[in-house]
Amino acid sequence: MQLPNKISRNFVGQSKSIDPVLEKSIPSKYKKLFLPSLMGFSLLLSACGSTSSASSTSTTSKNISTASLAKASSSTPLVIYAAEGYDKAEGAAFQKATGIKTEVVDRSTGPLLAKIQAEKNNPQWGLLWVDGAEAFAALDTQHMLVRGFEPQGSLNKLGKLVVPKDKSYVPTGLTVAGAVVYNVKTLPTPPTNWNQLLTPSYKGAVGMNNPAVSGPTYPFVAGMMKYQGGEKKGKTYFEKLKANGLQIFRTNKVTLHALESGQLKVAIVQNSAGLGASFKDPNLKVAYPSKVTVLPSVIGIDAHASKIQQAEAERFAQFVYSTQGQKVMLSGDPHGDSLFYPIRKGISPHKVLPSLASVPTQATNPYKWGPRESSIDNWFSNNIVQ
Amino acid sequence: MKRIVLQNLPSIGLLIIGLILVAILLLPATSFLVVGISPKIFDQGSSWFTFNKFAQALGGNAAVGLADSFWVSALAAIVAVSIALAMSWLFQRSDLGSQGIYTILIWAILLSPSYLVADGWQRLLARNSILTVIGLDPSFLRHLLLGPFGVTMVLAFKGFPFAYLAIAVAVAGLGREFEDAARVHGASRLQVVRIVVPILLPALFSGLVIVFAESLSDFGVAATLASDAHFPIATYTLYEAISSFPVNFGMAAAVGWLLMGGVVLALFSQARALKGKSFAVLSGRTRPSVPVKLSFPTRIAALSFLVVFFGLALGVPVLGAFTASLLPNFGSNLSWSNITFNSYKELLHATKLFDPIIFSAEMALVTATIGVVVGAVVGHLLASRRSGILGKGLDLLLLTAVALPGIVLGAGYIFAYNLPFMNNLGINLYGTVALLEMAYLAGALPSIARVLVGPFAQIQNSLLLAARVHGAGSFRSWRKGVLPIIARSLLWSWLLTFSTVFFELPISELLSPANKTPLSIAIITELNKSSYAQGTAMAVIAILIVLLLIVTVLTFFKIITPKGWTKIQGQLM
Repeated sequence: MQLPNKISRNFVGQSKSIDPVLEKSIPSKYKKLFLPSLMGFSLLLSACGSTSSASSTSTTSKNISTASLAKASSSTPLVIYAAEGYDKAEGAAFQKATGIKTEVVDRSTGPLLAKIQAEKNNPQWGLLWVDGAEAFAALDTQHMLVRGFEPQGSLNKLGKLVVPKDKSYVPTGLTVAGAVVYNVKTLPTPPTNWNQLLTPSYKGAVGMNNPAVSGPTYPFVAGMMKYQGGEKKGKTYFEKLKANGLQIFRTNKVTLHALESGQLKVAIVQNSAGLGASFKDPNLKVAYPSKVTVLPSVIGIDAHASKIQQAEAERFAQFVYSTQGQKVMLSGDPHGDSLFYPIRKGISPHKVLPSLASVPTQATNPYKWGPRESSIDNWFSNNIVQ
Repeated sequence: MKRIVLQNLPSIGLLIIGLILVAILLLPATSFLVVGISPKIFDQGSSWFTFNKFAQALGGNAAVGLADSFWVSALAAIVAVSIALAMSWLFQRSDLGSQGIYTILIWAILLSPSYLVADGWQRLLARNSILTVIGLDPSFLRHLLLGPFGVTMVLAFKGFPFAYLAIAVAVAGLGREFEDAARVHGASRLQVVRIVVPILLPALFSGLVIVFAESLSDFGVAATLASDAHFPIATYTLYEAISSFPVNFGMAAAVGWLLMGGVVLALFSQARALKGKSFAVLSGRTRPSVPVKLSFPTRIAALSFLVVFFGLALGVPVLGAFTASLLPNFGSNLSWSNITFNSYKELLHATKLFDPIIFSAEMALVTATIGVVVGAVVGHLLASRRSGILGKGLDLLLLTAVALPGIVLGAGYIFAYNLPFMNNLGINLYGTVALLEMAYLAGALPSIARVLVGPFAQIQNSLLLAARVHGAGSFRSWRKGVLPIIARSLLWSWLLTFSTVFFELPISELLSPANKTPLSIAIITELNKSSYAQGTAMAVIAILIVLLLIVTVLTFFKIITPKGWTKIQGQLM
């Protein structure tokens, strides 16, 4: 039974848009002739190859066609909880392309996770799409996510690095959790490694967000701890940073405001926020000291949603991976979340981003660092913020 | 003297009000609070019964936060009530004049969200702000603002209108006979004050308790000023418990219990102080007071006091928000060349402002209208001393509800109205406009009832008895005897509810339906993105809309109501 189901799912997934990489490599005069058979071949290949990876938990109605899903969606729309600047645009594009009714609840990450937690005994969401894999790792350990699903589409090296072993969530792009934003007028040469921030020239001039309040800041703190060689050494680093006059603010906006007003030389914030600010103030630049931690935008599917909604959610994730879906992500929030590194091969980021190869990146294991979030946040509040 | 007013309310009406209160307030609040001792009930932990969460809420920084919250709120209440008392006397009993303008100003304070007031102050005292541009160094003041002083100040400003609403009505309704009697018997001015102030005790206590409870639950100041100052207060502990993941609802509930405990203590002391006394002064025989003529120096002093107060409470935040909305990027560097109206221009061409404004205005309209009707009945019940245990329970419920932050109520709604068995019964309220409406009402009702208790407490039964003696039916005696006195308070309660709902954030975040965006969420989304100026511009436009509404409604009220009503109320609000 596994084989035909898988084939029908793959077929539905690819029938809307043919893989652009594949499409480009074929001379146009042969396209008509070769494509159907090539597609058939690739479907068969992928079907054979993926039987082993198909987990028992991803049991969504694989034989449900897009048309029947679209029909079913009028009674069971896909409910997306999302905190991405491009989420509404993506939802609208998905609905237009597939006919599947989509409702996007666009709120901040905090309230969305609070909703999910409060709804635990009767979940109302189908798909969650926010930055940071830690919350998804926590949801996965509570058996709240569909496992074993991975959309079709080849990923680049960094992309593969952030896919979890049990395929319980789907990374959709990468930003940098903590990059250095600086003003070229006051700081002509930015720091190239994090230890430089401990020197007297940065005394009282470094600012960052409070990880207990600002969503993307905990991954930066965890990443720094990993980079320093573990939680203990990481805590020592932050204590030294505090001794050198580290300033803590609520969120990106406030930290960047302090940089703009000259209170800081260096603001450590998510790179997309820094790049967004540089559109309006060209003196603001973003630097990537060695090493910065990647922050994936992530999709997770509710393990307790109806089979129809799970199928719709998988179709949505597939759509996000398509060329069309990637385009929407790259254009939906041009001065904010759209400034990410795509993880799908063959898709280029916005031109304000430096090439990914030039950025010294690392990834953290969300299953290791996710469970420590509240204790580390608490330590940070009591020892660094105070 | 026993009151007959309560008897006029049909018992079926009381039952409906009771059911409404249980559904919108008691059930969700209890659902949330129960998680503090039994997390397993709503699948929020493994224990059926535990006090662990209280240990968390009373340990380390959380305990410091709780203690800070209590003393800061108490201080804010005392400051707010003192200012409100002084201002009530100036507006209601002196010939200072121009009450209309001050009324608008007081309401402007009431309706500006506390995060905006805090943010405005921070902007004024930030580096490269307007003060620096004119050559002043605000670093000392900045230091003062970012700490207990600043937090208390902003909470007192935000609480002041509540205290004023409770006290001004009492001061205006006091009549002249008490002062006259004292003066006739040779009392000095100071002695008159000592005689009159105790008559105002219920109003003063209402003011203290309401400001205390409002300050305890305030989220805006906790999330801005207190957070930046790294001054731990309880709402912030609660906020942290809810924002980290997995969400610690148990600890948040424990903090909620402790905040409510604080209000219960305050209520207890109020009850002790007022035990067994009646303070009804407004009767059929009350004569309007003659305004005291202010001497020239007193007048100058009074005006300076008003200018300074409104400048600090309102001028600074408005200046902060407005200059921020005129500057590019994060609005940090003020200079003439920087100023631009671009964010307003962009906004007026975008639909992202209009849809949220219309949605929130609709919600606010419905909530305010239902809220005032229910609130009037509840306020009346609270004022009635005959209501016994029921009345005391009601008082307790409503005031402790004020101490519960909106986010707690919102989460409680999810626990209470997203139960699987409800779905099985075909009740799918969660995620609907109806549930959001209920939660808005629950958030607004305690404040409305509190504002209306003052006016109701002052009405003596002789007013109604007189009407009944002259042959009027119970409805007619209400309409002719009571309504004229409380009409303006009802109107103000309506406006208060409207503006609160219009700007409400935490409940909106948790309960608004997928395809609807309340105004507060539109503003916060804009602020969180890189377009800070646009977000602030949105807030400025929204405040202007509400102010315009208030002026329009008040003017309309003045035109349509009989002249006698205004006379009865003297120069109330």
